[in-house]
Amino acid sequence: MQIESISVKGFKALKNVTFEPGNVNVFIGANGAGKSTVLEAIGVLSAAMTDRVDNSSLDRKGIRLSTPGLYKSSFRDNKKAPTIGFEVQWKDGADRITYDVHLNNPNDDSAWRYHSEALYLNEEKLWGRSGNSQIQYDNRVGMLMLAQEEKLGIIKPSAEQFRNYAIYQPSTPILRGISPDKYQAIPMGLCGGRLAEAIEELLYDEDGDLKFGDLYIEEVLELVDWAAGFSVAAPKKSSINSAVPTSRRVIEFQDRFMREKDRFTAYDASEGSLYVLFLLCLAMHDKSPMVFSIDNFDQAMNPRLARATTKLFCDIIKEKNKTVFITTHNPLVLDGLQLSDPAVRLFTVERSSFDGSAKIKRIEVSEDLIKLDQPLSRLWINGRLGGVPNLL
Amino acid sequence: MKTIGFVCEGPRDSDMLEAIARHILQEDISSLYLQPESSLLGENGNGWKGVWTWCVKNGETFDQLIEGAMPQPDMVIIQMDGDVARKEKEVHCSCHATACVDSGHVFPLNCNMLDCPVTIPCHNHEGGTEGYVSLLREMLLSYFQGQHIPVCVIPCDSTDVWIVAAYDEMENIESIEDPWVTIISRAKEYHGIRIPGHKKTRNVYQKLIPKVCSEWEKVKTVCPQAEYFDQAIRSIQ
Repeated sequence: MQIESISVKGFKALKNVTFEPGNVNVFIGANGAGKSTVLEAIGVLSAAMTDRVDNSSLDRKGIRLSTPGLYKSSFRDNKKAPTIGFEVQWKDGADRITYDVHLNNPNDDSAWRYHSEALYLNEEKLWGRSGNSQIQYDNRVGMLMLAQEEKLGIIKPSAEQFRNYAIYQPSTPILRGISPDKYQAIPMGLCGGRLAEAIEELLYDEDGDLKFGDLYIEEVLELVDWAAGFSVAAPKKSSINSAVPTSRRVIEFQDRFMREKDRFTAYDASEGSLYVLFLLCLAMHDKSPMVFSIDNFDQAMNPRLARATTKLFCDIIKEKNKTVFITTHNPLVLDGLQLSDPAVRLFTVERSSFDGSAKIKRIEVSEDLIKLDQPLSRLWINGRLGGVPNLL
Repeated sequence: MKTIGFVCEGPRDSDMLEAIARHILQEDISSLYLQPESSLLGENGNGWKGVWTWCVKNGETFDQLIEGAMPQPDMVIIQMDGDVARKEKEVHCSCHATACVDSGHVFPLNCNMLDCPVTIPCHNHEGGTEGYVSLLREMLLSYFQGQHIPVCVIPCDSTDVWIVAAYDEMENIESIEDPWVTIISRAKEYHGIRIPGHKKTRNVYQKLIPKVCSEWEKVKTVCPQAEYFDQAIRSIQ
């Protein structure tokens, strides 16, 4: 399944945007430009397509719960649109599938109302529902996955891949295992809960070599370079202070320069390393969503670590044919991207100085850009890519 | 404690040279990683091209660079593997064996010529490894005219051959091509050290290096470039 385009109309600062994603999609832009809004828009779309849109479904996906009136675009110089529209087009084998939905934001309860849904297969309308349909469905529930028509059987498997979309935003205390994750999920919660269990599920011995998912442990240790190794075990008095709250399973690390028998847990470990392990788990774990987002991808990472992690993360995502949307403020994340590969895409998100609406622009590697012979990070810092706030 | 600046193809090379320098000096050293750069942007890139680019950019102002460095190094070591001369056309650009109209006018790493007249192996260096060492050393040090000349070590075929020299008994060891692929990582283990996926990771390299240090006298005997490096390090004692 390859997403070809996503369109959003009338959702928060996204008055009318369309962009063509690849497997790895990086959004840069000033604070308040609308980067996180793009991730949330995809979340609303995924909820609409596979379930329903209400506080519960949005909250589960890591989407901020706004007051109802604030979901719909509300620009000073424009009339409010009657509905909020989302469209996604994807390729599944030889077939091109388009799902289009128009919603009304909630009024007296948290449920968004479906104004219309339509599904197209290779440009031909396969199914739809609206106020004019002969059969009237509950307009608080998305019908695409519930409708029983046989003709929908062909698209449901690929549409299903959107169901578990969520926005991940790991948090240090949760990664350390000392705070519970409000957004519990398998294999990991949206804020990093269950990291130890997820790592344990990925660690295995292959022919005498310790592997972490598709990687040899040594490859992971290139990024966690202070460690000689890591494993998962029950908490012990020798590795964690008994006064510290802990989960049932903890990650244990061995430092390269400490005595071999000494271990410590994620509670004492480098914060950045936990984020790296979280990202790799998310990319590699079979139970993680096929389509997901990560807000603030480079949190807690030294810029060079962020660059190296980005490169490895992209390679894994492409191999697994997942689709991921990430936001970042770290220039060196861009240096980890291979933009010459069409599967990896960079977008700037900027607010129009005319009406304040957010615009999404793809940065492509042109001949002119190559001639500048400078890393992407430097081009971004120097304002050549856009996505830089107009601050003194 | 001595300070040594390293201009190397990659972090594994500086790992090796650093460890050996500590062994020779019998004390800890402070390392300055000049290339690959410690800067956030790393503009020169990695590998032999990075080393070459660094020399081009910094050769003319080398003395100034070193005086201004914090801490000021006692020595700067430039390392490039001998296999570059064996495999890469660009380093033979100004060889007498090649007639090229752009030679001397276009920097070889920026040349876009489609039909490069250089052939590999280059007939001008039929002295084998000795020929490669003098070609690369002459090329790199040519950028330091009027400056203090840094140490320039050209391990043949690469620094990996010093590992083979430490662990194995072999003849003409500097003529072995791609020792990492052909010898060290050929099997799953090399003298009891596991090499997962045949990959040259930091972890694996850190396990191999101690033997190079403990067998350094033997390595020097069979690798002339190791002997050269040894003498250079001892000169700052």
